[in-house]
Amino acid sequence: MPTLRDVLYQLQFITHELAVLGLFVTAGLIALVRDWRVSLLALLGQYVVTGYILSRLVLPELALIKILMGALICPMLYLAARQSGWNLLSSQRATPRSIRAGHGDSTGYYVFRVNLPFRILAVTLVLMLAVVLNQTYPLPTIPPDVGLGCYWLILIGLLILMLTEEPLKGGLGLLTLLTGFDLLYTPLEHSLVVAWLWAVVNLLLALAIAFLAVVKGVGTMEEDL
Amino acid sequence: MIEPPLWLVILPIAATPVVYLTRRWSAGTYVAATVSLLTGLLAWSLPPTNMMRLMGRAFLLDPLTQQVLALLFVTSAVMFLASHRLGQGSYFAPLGLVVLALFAIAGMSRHLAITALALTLAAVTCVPVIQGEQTISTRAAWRFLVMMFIALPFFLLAAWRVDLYREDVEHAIYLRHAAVFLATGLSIWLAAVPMYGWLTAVGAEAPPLAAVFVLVGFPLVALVTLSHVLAEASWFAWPAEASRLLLLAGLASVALGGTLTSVQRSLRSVMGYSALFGLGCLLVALAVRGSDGGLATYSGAVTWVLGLALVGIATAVIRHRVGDDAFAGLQGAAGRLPLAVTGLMLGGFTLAGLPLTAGFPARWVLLHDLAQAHPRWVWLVVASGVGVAIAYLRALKILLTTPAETARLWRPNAAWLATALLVLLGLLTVGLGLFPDPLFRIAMRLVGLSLPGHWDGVDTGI
Repeated sequence: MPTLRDVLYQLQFITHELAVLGLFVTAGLIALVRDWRVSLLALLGQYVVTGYILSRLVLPELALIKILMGALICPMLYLAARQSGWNLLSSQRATPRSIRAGHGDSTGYYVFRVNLPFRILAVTLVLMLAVVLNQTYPLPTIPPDVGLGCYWLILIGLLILMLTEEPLKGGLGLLTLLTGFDLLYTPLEHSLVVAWLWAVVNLLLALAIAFLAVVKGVGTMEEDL
Repeated sequence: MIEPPLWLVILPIAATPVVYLTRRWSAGTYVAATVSLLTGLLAWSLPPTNMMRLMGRAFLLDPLTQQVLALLFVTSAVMFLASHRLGQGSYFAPLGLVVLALFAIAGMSRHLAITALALTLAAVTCVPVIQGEQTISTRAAWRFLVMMFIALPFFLLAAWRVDLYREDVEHAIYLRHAAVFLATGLSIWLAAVPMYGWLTAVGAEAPPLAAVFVLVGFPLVALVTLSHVLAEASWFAWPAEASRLLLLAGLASVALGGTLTSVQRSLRSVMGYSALFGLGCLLVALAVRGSDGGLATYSGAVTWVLGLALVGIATAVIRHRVGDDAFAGLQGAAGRLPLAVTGLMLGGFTLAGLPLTAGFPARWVLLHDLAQAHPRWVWLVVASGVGVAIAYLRALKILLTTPAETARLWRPNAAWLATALLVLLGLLTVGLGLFPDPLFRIAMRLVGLSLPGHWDGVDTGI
């Protein structure tokens, strides 16, 4: 059976730049797409890509913990989303044209309070801001492209938190923000105790997000994306 | 052998399974309250201890942490007892004990990263407590969770910068970065304006007793952390900037809290904003420590907790009997709930710092200290206190008003324990208002034990 290092050796062709591009795609999907399945898949991909990037900066075993964290968090959120009744087309929320047009229905519920074009614009601005910050204030001890990935994830996470108060979607934003910080912090922190506690905190955060999502019991509207 | 301070962590954790299994019965409440009270008494009576090393990190139970933990545990015991038959959520008691244990870890830790991670774990554990049994809105729990997690990276970065400085003492720039990160993180924990959203949201939407638990616990542990840094971290040893920033943050919280309290329309919202006002007063007291070395801070903290406890219990009782805490639905409640209304007023006036309540002596000392250092801000604090008093007087007016419709559905009164606690705490606040000596004696003792230099020669690791 191939070891972890064998697997990483096989994946050597994936450069830092390509991996950071993957982060752009995953975080962008979380910010733009309302569908919770796509968002959760994107989050899982984000953890995998982050783990891969970290495997080049720290011990591969430590990086594997990040991937395992994602592998535990995503199913937790998936089960919570299923239990809370998230369906794209819910028969109890038949959507009249007036609601499709965005003229609120007090019984309806919107994941994002703004529509897709605004979100695309916001994501573009965040990307530009991340590039500028990375050039003006480069992050210490990590390569510049990884620094760009850090800034991108933190800023897009903050954007998602600003755009929604819905726990599941907002939770993905918060986890994205923490993943961005993780990219910066993991190479800096040498204490196993702190690293272990950080992982526990992330897992419990996912549990809290799942709890709030189930309590909220969200039914999405049929909307763009 | 187990170090004595570790029992402050072990006892609540050990009791949690029992409390969880019996949470739907009265026994769960009583066990939680008993364990919490006994642990509080243990914290109060422990002798001075040496530094402990756990997993390579330093932990120390200093006298200030000891007294604050005792206050937290005893207050929690009162909240657990008062929650009997008041429906604060089935997770309040069991998770409350876990949170108390995490507070003890955070208070004793001398590494910023461990402190921050422990308090963040406590925040996650508090989410079901804040949510209670309600399903309509998750705003309070969500906002609290987000703010606590946004604060965490700042503490981790501050700890990293401090560790870098220890490895290379020539690079003092690291300390500057650490101070900035620390200030940002603490401003969130202490709900300094504009980071106060979590405090007022929790006050407005969480079950009242659970709200008091959170509103009191997290800021007090944050104040303990700040006190540790100011007293023990030589690189943060009270520069003029820190004092000025604390004063600004405190005054902003005082002004905003006092102003917005006066226009709220429900008892829980009033409680949230008056908690913000009280916390601002504590920050101001910390910033202007007069010649008495912080008497206003310590006495103010005790009366702030007492006032919130009274308001929280009274709000819970009124809400339980009436079915709602919005002002619009409280007309005529004073006739049916005289003790609860009296407790509410006493608690509110304690928070406002009015005479004949426990809040007045501590507020007087604060105003005296502030007048010596920055006299022009005295009237801001006084005026904001009037704002808090106005809110409770508005509530009293509505509570005394005869309702237009006489037929109202009143829930049966099963909260005799909460009512008894209201009477006890009410007598305590009036007693301390008339005879504040015991309060000041305890506060002076704390001042003596927490002066800089008390831990000379102790490398606490901050």
